[in-house]
Amino acid sequence: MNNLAVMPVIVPALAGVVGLFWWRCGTARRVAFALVGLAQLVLALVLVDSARTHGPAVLGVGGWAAPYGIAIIVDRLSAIMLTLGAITALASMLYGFAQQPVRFEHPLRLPLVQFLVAGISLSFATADLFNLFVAFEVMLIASYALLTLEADDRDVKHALPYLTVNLVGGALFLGAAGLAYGLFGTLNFAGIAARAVEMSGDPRVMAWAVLLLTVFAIKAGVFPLYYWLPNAYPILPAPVAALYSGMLTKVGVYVLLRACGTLLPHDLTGLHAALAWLAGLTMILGVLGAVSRNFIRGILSFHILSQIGFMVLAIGFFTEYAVAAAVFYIVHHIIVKSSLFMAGGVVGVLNRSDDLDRSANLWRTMPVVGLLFLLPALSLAGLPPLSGFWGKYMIVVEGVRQGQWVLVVLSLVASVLTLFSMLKIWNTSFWAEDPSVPVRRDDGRWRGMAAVTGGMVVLSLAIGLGAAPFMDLAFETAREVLDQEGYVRLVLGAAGEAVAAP
Amino acid sequence: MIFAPLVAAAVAAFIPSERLLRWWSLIATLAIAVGSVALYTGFDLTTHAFQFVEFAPWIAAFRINYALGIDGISLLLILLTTFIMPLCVLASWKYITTRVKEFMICLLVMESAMIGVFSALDFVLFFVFWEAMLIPMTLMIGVWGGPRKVYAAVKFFIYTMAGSVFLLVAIVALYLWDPANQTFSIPELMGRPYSQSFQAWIFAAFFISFAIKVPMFPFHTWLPAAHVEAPTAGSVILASVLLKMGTYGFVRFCLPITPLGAAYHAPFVMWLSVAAILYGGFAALAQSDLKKLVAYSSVSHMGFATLGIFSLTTAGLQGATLVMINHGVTTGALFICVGIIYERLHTRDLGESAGLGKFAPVLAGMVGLFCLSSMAFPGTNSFIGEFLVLSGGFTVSTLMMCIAVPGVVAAAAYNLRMLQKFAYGSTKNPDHSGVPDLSAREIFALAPLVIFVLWIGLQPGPFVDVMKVSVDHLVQTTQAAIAQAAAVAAQ
Repeated sequence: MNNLAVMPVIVPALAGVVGLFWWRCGTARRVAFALVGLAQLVLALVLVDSARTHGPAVLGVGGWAAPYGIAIIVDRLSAIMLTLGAITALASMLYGFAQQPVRFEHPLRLPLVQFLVAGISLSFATADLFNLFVAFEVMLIASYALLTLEADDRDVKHALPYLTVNLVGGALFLGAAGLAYGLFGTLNFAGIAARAVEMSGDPRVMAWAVLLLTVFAIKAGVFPLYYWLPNAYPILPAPVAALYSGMLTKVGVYVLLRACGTLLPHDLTGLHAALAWLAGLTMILGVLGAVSRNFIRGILSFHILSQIGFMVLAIGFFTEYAVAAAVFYIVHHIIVKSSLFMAGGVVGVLNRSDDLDRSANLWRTMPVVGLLFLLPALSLAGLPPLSGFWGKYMIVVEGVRQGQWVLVVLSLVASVLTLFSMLKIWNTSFWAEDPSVPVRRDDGRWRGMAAVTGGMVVLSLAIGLGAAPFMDLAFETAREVLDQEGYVRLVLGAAGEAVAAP
Repeated sequence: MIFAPLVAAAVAAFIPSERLLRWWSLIATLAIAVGSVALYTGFDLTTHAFQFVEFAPWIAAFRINYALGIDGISLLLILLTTFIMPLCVLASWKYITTRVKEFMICLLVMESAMIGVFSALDFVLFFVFWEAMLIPMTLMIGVWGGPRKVYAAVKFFIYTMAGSVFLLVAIVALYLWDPANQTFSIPELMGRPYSQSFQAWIFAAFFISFAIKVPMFPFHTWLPAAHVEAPTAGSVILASVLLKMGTYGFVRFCLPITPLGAAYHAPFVMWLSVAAILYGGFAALAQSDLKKLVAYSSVSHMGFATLGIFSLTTAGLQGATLVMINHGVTTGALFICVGIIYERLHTRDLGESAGLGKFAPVLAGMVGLFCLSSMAFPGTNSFIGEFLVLSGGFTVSTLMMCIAVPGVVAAAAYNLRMLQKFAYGSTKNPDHSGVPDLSAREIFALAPLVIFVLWIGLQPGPFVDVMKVSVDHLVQTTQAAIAQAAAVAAQ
């Protein structure tokens, strides 16, 4: 079973390489990629099941045991993230097939998506700081290439800040990794965790932690490091945007959670508080940005930030309950956000634009599409019993319990504003009736796109209405993430216990 | 019971013909209404405990359960809901011509949620139903409404949503209050020894949320907009049932869970109620749009309900519950009448409809009866409710009641003004001679309401008996909690 742990990285990487040589776009190629996507999903589900029943899968790559070799560990959190990645990647591929006739397909798009997925999967599965850096770079290269692949000159301009900010982040990350090696003598997560706990209180550890969290906060898009995101995402074609919005920033959130839960000493309360407050600001500024935008992808892109704020806020509260909230929120958010981008893409096809000034009439002519947008939109705003409600609810509970009234109020204000900005889309694209705006029902592409979106919406409904099993999983995951000693023992075995002992 | 309308809605989704769909919705809502009578006949009048209790764990990790149960107060409101629904279907028989299927599904889903709100015994379940009701109502206004429907729908939605945020915080705070025994069970949360200041805060959060729903002055501005734009059935549901959820919230949560908070804030709330009675009454007097007139009269009537509740006396609370039911019957009926007038004249302007009564005597007779009921004429349903509220109020503050009484006079004035213009006004311009009187379907829609107006007015016994034990118990426990706190403070 342990060897399976590395497969989520190898399968897409191989598929990407094969895709580079299989240059001719055609139906067979599409089917092959879809099958690869499906295989990844099955694999990820097997890993979730195995992590729940047999505990985390640990693999020392090349037979080299930690702390000398590179460790791959798939515990519950990693397995959940891998599953979500696989679902989003598969959905975005299928959606892309429906949106674009095969003769217009860029031969590089599918291989690049696979490389991107490989990078994402590696960052979820790795248990080594340097390896994580590699994963980030793979992701960055693939994502930048995808960003500019089908963009025109004007749009490429917006991709530049994305590249620059992420390269700076990469450089800082390298610095943090070097510092870690100097401080702890290892880059292995478990090794760092064991030593860092011993050295807790050392100002150098604090400085290193700040540097590391800064890098991850850039990845996640936390205030004030989010500038690169909301202008870059809208230039993507809808299927790729769904993948980016679902997964890329969530990699940042995942590593923040992993860093706070597994890597860093748990008593850095000041740092957690700072994270919570930055998250509060991200929440509000993100949603205000969304309110100010006037086209669907732009609004949704700002919402990513606002929602990231919710997740990071939960991490900042840093209790088992709060971490469970963060995990549940991530699960909900990835599905809902992707489906919203997809629904936005359907609007774009039907109205030939997702600019709110040039979009209307959809509810009158296509109520089904209306529902596909309305349900995830209300879920995003946190209406019970949809999936978004439970995550927000848990965050509010934890906030009230800790007496963080200002943050609770900020989160509630952000929820109402989220609703407001969603209604803005709803009012114009769906409810408004404007005879000068055409609805291109004759364009059959919307059917396939809506079907894929519908699948995601059904999934999000299931998460909301059948919240109990997902919640149980979230709590199990939270316990595991916060169990630093268990993690160290798992990776380093008895030697680790000796290291961890005071 | 809760899921019956949902099932009916699911079936409706597969019915192709509009005609069949209307009949199916009518039969389903009628069957549910008949079924709900079983709740009444099986109800034990001698206990204040919750009856027909259902329980199943829902999300164990949060201790959230699927818990239902009713007492006398919720029974009356559930019956009101189930009886109003078939009338709503009848009222939209011809009015709704586009997207009939979606409309009927909205109606049925809403019925589920409304029954759920009145019977939930778990706070989270309550909140879920509370919010679930919002969406079909917003759609109903936004899709089938008048010219400014989008504005009205969004205003309604945002207002209510902003209110429920406070509700959520209050629920969470109550849940966390006792770390050893965290629960969302509404009966268990009652009567816990919360401190005075905690209760005051919780009450304030509840209050904002429920006051928006009622709506109390000055949170009422969404109501006229929503009523004017909503289709007839939407207005009827809004007036008859939705507004009651606010007052129901006061009765079910504010008094038993935060009695000290209620006592602390009661004078303030009563003054707001008096303001609502006066403001609603005089604003109604100034309207020429029939729907706006009835909408503002709602604000005034609901003022009586909140006044009665926060007098914290048995008479006041019984009166308030009756006002809730009566307002549901009478205002619902008036909105149906206005809808009927609009279907005939395509205007709701009081001046344009003047003199219609001469050519439609049955309609005029109905409107006349409901107007008398709305102004609380003795012998009609509203009289007994408002009388009890005022008599409860007088034991608390004579001054306040003296100020409120002009509101009663205003009610007489705006109702008589409407009736006089409508029934006896000049018919020269415009000419209404070709306007038909009520059809059999319309008579069928209004007749049950006529029966209830006279039944509650002349023989309120059965209605009072159902809630008597529950109300008595509520007042006793509330007063006992207040007295106990006062005794502690005196020591």
